Amino acid sequence: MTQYTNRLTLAVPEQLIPQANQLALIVGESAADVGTFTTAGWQDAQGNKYAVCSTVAKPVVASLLGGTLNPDHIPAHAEGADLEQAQVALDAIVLFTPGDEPTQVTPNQITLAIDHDPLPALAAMGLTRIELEE
Amino acid sequence: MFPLSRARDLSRAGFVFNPIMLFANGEQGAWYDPSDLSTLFKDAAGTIPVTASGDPVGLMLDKSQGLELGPEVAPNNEFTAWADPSVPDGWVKFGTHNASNFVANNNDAVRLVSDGVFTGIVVNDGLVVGKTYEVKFDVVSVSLGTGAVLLGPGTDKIFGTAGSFRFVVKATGTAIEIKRNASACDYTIDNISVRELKGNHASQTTSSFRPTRNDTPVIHIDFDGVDDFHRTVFPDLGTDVTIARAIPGVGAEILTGQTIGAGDYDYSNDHAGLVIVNRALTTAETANLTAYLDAKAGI
Repeated sequence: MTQYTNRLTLAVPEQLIPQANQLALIVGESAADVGTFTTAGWQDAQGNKYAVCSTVAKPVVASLLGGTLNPDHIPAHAEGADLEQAQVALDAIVLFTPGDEPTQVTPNQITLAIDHDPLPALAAMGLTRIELEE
Repeated sequence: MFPLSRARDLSRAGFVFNPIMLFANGEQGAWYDPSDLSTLFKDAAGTIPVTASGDPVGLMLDKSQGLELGPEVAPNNEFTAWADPSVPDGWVKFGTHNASNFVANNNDAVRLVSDGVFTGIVVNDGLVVGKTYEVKFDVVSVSLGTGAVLLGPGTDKIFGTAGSFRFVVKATGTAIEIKRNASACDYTIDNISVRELKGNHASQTTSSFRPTRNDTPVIHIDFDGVDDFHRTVFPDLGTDVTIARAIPGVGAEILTGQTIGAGDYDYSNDHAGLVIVNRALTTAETANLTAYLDAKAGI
């Protein structure tokens, strides 16, 4: 059975992309994870822009929520990661809940859906893809 | 390659179509087969095999060239020749080499000692950037720290225990390096092998962009529709490319007359098999490939 038992979908406001990338580097599995969030290609009804990602993950990632990152547990690939920036991102995470009034994205929080289909979850958060002009 | 009449003859004779036949005359492209677990790895470096449904797929090997290995590119790779006792023949020293940081012949294997400063040995200009190589080596012993073998920046295979290691990696530089890792070390390494793994392999270095292997309804590569994609660096395949995939639970889809230029080619459609070849197919080939992909798609 796979160890990747969670599906995480995140919406990161444009101004928190650098911090979110530091967190992705630390909780990810590759030095390339510092480039997880690149383009703010989604927007909310107010026109605020967000970068999104969806990924499978081991349960240990979700277990970090609400906690403090431990500098002794930084993986080898993330040597040099900015722990303070990553902690800012971790502290900004708000858990998505579905239902009649699902959690909506805001520009000062990172919205995280755990074990939801990614595209419906992003839509429920109030996000739409920004269509590129031809 | 197989005229229709010939295909019928082969069918009567128990002929079994294999997509590798589409590449028999030196055609370029790729054949990805998610049902072949030996070709799937969780990481882009090819060190961790995919074993279960739901695992991410960071590297998917192309079978169009039969997973053929090229010639050995690591010189003196069993470290039996040492004209200079401080470095094996064919290799050169880099970094600091002194009484505390050195390489020595340890029973025809390389002992590398570092007090923490940067030190190692290298073969310059042995590789082609962008090509994929299978790297194998034996770590005979480790009494301190960790070591690393790499084929350019970001490709480090780090080891801290004795054992046999294998990884598949796309070279990001032209040099083969054996070095200390982050701190002091004392280890012995032997039998390094570096050989090109022919084909156009698909990979994804960023964890969250990796699709997963999914076994429902059939074994396939599942892209999440948000950010997942596999990247292949193709040569120029021209303007008459055939792209054929097995759509899970649906069947074969064959696109003709496609254009794929040289460089990055990103793919993000679910598939239970994907064949890309730089030419149009004959009627018989199309029929055979359709049947093959339908079977892979589970219909």
